[in-house]
Amino acid sequence: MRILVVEDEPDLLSVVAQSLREAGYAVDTAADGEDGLFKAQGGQYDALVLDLMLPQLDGWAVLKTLRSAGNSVPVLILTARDALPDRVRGLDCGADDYLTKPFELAELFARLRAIIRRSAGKPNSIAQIGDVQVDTIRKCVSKGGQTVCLTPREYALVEFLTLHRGELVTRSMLYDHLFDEDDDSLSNLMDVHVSNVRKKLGKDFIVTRRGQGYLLEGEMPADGPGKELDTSGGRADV
Amino acid sequence: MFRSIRWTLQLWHAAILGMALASFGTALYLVVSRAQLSQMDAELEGAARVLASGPPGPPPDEDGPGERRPPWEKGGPPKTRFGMGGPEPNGPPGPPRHPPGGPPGPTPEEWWTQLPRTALRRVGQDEQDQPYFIIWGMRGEVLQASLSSLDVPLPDSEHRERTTEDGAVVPFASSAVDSPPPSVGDPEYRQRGMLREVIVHGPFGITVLVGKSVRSEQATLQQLRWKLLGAGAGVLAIGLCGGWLLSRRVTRPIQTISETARAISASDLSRRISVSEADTELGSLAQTLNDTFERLETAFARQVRFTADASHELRTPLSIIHSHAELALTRDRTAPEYKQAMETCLRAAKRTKSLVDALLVLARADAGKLDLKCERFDLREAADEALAMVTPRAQERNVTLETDLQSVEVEADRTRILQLLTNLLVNAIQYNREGGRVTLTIGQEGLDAVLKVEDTGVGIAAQDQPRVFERFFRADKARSREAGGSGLGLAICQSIVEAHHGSISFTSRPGEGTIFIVRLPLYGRVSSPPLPVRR
Repeated sequence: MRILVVEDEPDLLSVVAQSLREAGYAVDTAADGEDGLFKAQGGQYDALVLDLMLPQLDGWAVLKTLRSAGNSVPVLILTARDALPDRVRGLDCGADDYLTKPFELAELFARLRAIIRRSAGKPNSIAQIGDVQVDTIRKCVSKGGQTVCLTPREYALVEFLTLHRGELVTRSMLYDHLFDEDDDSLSNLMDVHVSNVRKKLGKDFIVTRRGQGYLLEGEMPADGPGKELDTSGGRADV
Repeated sequence: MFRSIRWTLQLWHAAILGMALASFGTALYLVVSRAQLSQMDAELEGAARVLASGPPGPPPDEDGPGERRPPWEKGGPPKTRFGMGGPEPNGPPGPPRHPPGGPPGPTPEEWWTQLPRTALRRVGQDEQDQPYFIIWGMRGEVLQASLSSLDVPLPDSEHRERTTEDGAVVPFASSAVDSPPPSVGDPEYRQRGMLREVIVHGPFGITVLVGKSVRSEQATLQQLRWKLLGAGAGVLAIGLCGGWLLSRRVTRPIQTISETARAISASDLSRRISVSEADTELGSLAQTLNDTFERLETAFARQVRFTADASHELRTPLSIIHSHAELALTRDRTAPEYKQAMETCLRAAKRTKSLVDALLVLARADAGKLDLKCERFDLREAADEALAMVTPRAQERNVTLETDLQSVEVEADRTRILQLLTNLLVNAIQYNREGGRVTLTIGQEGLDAVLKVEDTGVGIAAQDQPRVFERFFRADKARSREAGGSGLGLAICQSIVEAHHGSISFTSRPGEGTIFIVRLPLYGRVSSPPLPVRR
């Protein structure tokens, strides 16, 4: 999962970015509205953490520009402006959620997970693919009741594929969403992660479509593949 | 309810109207009753005089000085002159005739004795209402009386009384019997129950009383009273209805204004009272209220913005401390990581402290409790001190400090003036360009000490200029944070200057620089204690 944090307070930006990285997200940062808007329009983010009082271009303007350009990336507004008109205006501008400072990191994470799940059309936080269970809250994967030990990158890969299960996920999508802008991983590293996950969760867990990408073919009793395809239709940017 | 303007108006209206009607009615009644009484008195008196004057002929007092004869000696046929009665059917018999020059006839009383007892009778009247008369002789014996007046008491010196105009009864003068007036004297009036009587003293010691019942007149007056009461009540009722309608007409717009005003103050300050009749008193009241709402709304909006800004500024460092501490504690960290977290927290705490300090200064200035410790000192010395404090920062930013300082004495709070100087200098350095220049000038213009801080920075954009002294306004947010600024510096400067009865202004040309000019009263000019700053 890749997240863009737009915040003009350097000390706050660093702590949010660091805590998100420690939670396994790939994180990009921007210190003002213009930079934030530029990155949000160019990068493939799973979510945006946006401050409102920003130099150059305030958060509402960033949000409006993004939405009017058809960008549907989930946005969480994180701001010290807690007055009702500000919250209403923020949500009406197209934000998915609103969190006021000071905040608990746990709540920030939970809200981010929630808007990411919702925007992917998978509201359940625990996914069952065959005998593999992915718990996106505790960030652990189990196979046949046995907890499987994954590295953060491997978990991120599984999580992303789980979120987009039933959809074809290209290699570039994986690169866009699993690594931040400072990551200079080599392309073949992705194959290493995929093969490691296959070793741990079974050879058929990830299906390779040659020349196209990867596919996770988990059938879920609650939401079948047909429904998933419908909901994924809206995510043209992924 | 009865304390409302409408009821007050109505009650006053009723009281005044009632009083006016009562006075009018009473006056009318008195005038009518007096007129009736005096008319009756005049009739009775006329009859009495005729009776008292005795036999017809020139009255004795009209005779020549040599002719002192009793009236009846003059002779001449008696005529009926009883005006009240008109021609009497049986006619008064002529008084005894005395041939002129003949021997004296009967005693003087005889003329009266022979008067018919029906002399004053009228036709077709109630027996009770008939006028009556009685004539006493010199010794109080009844010479003649009409049919119905036999029991009338003699108005002797003990009983004779007259009724004054105000109704008081005073004893009659002891004239009367022993020394009868030579001719018809002044009439006396008396009221005896329902009877009105006139007493006249005639010649030869006779006393004539003519009376009449006032029953019918009393009945007329009683009727008049009822009519007046009825008419008064009617007029009062109409007046009160009119007053009620009038007071509603007056109070309805007031009520409308008050209801609108209540709705506005309760819910929505942006609403206004509609001013339909702007030139009336109520129109101007509505306009005044609208102006007040306007000012209130502005003040509230400013307050809300200030609170939101203050909350934002306080929350930001607080969330930095909170999140850094929370993150540091999520797992075991290395010593440098902890150290870095603590440093960040300390930085944020310092920022919070300076912000709280600044807010406190502003709050005190707003409440007029800046507690200025005024002393006499030289501005140049304070300027040197402030320059020493900001020099490191100027060197850091490669800004040259230039000065042109004259010795000027002011009476002010030295600490606050130092804060003012430092704030202005730090701003000038911070918003300067790399390698720029800051010039501090202190001089004297008239009765003011003038302090100028000039920079060669970016200047203030025209649209930002009106907001420069606004709290939490920052022309350049990123640069302000770099300086550790809260956005309150210039607002504080303004408060300090105003508390010292001074003024602060600026001129700025974008791209060339800004000059802040502070004027403070010279030492000896401040006579009154510093005024509280009002916003």
